[in-house]
Amino acid sequence: MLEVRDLRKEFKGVTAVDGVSFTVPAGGSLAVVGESGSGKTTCARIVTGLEKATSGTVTRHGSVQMVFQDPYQSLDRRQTVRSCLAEVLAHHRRDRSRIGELLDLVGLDRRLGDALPRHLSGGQRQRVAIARALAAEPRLLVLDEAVAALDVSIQAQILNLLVDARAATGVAYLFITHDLSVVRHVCEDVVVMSRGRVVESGPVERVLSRPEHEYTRRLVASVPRPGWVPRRAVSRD
Amino acid sequence: MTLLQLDRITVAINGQPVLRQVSLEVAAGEAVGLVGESGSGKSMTVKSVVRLLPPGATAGGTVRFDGADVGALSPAALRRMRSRDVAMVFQDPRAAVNPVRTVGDFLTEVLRDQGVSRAIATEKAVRSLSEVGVGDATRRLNQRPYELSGGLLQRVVIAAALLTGPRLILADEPTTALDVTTQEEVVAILDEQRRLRAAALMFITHDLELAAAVCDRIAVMYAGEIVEILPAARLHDDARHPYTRALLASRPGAVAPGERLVTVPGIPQSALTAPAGCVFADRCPHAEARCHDERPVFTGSAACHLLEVL
Amino acid sequence: MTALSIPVVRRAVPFAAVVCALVVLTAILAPWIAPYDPNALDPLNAYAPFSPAHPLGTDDLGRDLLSRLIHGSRTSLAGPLIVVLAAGTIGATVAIAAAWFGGWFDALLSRALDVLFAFPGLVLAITVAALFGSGFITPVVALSLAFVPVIARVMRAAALRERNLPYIEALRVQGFGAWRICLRHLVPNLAPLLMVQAAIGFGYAMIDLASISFLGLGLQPPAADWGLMIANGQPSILAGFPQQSIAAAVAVVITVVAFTAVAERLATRFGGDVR
Repeated sequence: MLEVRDLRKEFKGVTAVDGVSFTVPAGGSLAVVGESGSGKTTCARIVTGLEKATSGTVTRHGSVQMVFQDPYQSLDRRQTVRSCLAEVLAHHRRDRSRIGELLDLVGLDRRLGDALPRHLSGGQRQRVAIARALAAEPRLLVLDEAVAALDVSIQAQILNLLVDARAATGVAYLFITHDLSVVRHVCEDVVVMSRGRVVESGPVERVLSRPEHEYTRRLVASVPRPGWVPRRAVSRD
Repeated sequence: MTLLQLDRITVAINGQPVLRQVSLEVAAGEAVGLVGESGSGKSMTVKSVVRLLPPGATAGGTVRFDGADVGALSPAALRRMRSRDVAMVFQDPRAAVNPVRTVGDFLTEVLRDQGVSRAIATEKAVRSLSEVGVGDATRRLNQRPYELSGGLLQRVVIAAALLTGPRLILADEPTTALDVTTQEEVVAILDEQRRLRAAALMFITHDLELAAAVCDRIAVMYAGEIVEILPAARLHDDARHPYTRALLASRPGAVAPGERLVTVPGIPQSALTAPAGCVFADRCPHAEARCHDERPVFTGSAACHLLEVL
Repeated sequence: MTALSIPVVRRAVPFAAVVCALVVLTAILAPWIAPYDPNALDPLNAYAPFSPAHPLGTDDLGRDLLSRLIHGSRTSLAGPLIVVLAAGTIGATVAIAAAWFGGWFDALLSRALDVLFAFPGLVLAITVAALFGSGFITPVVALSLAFVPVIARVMRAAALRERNLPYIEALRVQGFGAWRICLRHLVPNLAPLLMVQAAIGFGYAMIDLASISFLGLGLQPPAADWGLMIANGQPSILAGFPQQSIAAAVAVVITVVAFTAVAERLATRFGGDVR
C-alpha cells in the first residue's frame, strides 16, 4: 500500500529525517511514534506530498489522504459541512449523494450538514475532517496526531470511529502519534523514531511489551499508568 | 492543618457562569490534583485562589488562605501573598518567561523586588537551578529563554516558583506541552522538591494517571463543579461518580487492544450549557428523572443522586 | 490602541456610518438634489452671504457653494474609491502570489514592495502628476500604485498565515490546484481583512487626492472638487470670504473621519493588526 525507502530530508542543512524506511500493508495500521523533533511529522508530510524528500523513494498504491491534529484549523471556516464534502466529492468525480453516507460513517447527525465549523465542537470537527478524507475513498489515511488535541471522552469516540471506518472501508492507517496507549489500541505495527532515525520497529505487542532499544524503553517507561512513579533521569542536560 | 479553603466559589464572566459552587480544602503540604476536560473550570478554580480573574468576571464564595479571607485582603497584602506564599507554574513556559531577559533576570526578579541583595539573589538562583536538575547553572543564568529547550525552561520556571519558599504551588497543566520523557523528569522534580519543602500543590491536568502519580487526593471537575474527590491511591478502585468512571474507562489503555472503548455520549458541557439538575445528567448512562431536576448535594466523596445504587 | 478605546468615540460609530451613507447618497444623487448648476456663473451675485436661496452663499464668480459642494462629492469620492479598488486588487493579488509561491519569488516581491514603500505615496503621486500632467486620472493612477505596497504588506502577512493553516494543506492533499484553492478558499477568507484595509486606505487617499488638487496638480478649474475648492477659496479668504475653503475643508474632514471610524470598527471586528 505504502512503501517508504531510505527517506532523507534536510531543512537548510539540518537533517530532519535520516534513512527512514517502512511499509504499510493494504488495510494495515502502522504507527510512527516519537517525540517532538523526531521527524515523524516530516515523514507524514512527505508521504502525503506536502513536502519533498531530499532523497529516498515513496511508493503509493492508490490515493493517500490526511487528517490533521488541530480540528479548529483544518476546516475552511466559511464552508458548511455539506459544501466541504460536496467540493471534495465533485473533485474526485464521486456522487454528491454520498454526503449522507459519509456523515453516517463518521457518526455525525445529518442535520449538522448545514453547520459551519464554528458551530461544531472539536470532536465534531474532527469527524468532518475524517469524512472529508474518506470521501475520496483513499487506500491510505495519514493521521497526524489526529486525536491528540481532543478531550479524553471525545478521543475515545474518535478512536472507535477510526476502528469502525477501517473495518467498513478497508482503508490502511499511518498513525503519527506520541501517545503509546493510542498505538496499542489501533495499530498492528510500530516504528519508533528518535532524532530523525528509526531506532526500533516491529509488531506493536512486541515493541511495547519487550522494547529492545534503550530509547523505546525510556519512552514506554515514561507513560503515566496505574502504579507509575515518575523518576528523575540520572543524566542532566 | 488546612492551608487553603475554597468555600462555595462561584465565578461568572459577563454574567455567564464558569464555576458553580466549588468547595475544596488543601492541607499544608498536601498535593491535590484537579482533573477534568476542557471547559470544566480547573484553571478558573486555581486562578480564583489568587484572584487572577479575567475582566468582566464576578466571583462569589470565600477563599481562605492560612485562615485569612483572600477576598478581603488589601491590594498590598494580596500582592504579598502572590509573591511570597503562592507560586504558579503554567502550561507554556515560553509564555511565562520574558523572552528578551536572561534566565538570571527572571529568577532573581522577585527576590530583588523583596529587597534581597544581588549577590545573595544570584546565589539562591544558582542553588535553586541545581536543585531542579539544571546543570551548569551559572552559565544558564546568562542565557535567554530561546536558547533553552521547553523541558529545561519549565524547570527554570519551577526553580523560580520555589525560590520564594512558597507554601502553595499552583501548577496549571505544567507538562502538557512537553514530550512524555521530559514530562516524567519535570513531574518527578516538581514532586520531589515540593515534598522537600513541605509545600502544598494544586496540580491541574487532564491526565488522571499523571495526577494519581503526584497527588494525595484527586478532585474531578465537570462543567464548573467538583463532582468527586477521592484519595489518589484509590482512584481505580473507589471511583464512584459516573463521570469519573467514564473518564477512567475511555482511556485507550483501559480495554484490550482492538476492543471498543467505553465512550460517553454527547460532548463535554461547560458551566453555562450544563443541565439544571446534575451537571452530568444529559450524558450519564444511569440518569433518572430526579438527576435532571434536582442538583445532587456533595456528600462524602461525590455529588451524585445514585451513589447508593452504583 | 485606537481612538475606539475611548467609549464616546466607540458610541459615535453608528453615527459615522450614517454620515458615510449620506455622503455616498449625495454623490449618487448630486444632479437631482443640488439646487443649482454648479458651474452657473452669476457675477452680480458674487460673495453672496448665507441665505435661504444660497444656504452656503456663493463664491467669487457667484456660483452656488452648496451645489458645488454637492457635485464636488462625486470626484472627491470617486478618486479614493478607484485608488482603493485598484490598489486593493493589485495588492491582494501580489500578496497572495508572494505567500503562495514563497521562496525567491516572495523575497523578490517583498523587496520590490519595500522599495516602493520607501517613497511617501503623496510625494510619488505629486511627482508623477507633475511629470505626466494634471487631471483626474494621473494622480489617481499614481496614488493607486503608491498604495499597493501598503495594502500588499498587510495582506501578504495574512495570506502567509492563512496559507499555512491545515485546511489549505488538506485541500492540497486532496489534489486541488493552486488556482482553485486561492480563488475559492484563500481569497474569500482574506476578503474581510482586505475590505478593512480598503476602508482605512479610503480616508488616506481622500486626503492625498485633496492635497494634490490643492496643489493644482489634480482636477483643473472649473471642476467642482473639494480639494480644488479649498485651493480656489484662498484668495477669497484674504478678501474676507472664507466660506468656500471652510465648507470644502469641513466636508473633507467629516468624510475622512467618518470613513476611518467605520473602518476601524470593522478592523476590530475582523481581526487585529490592520495597520
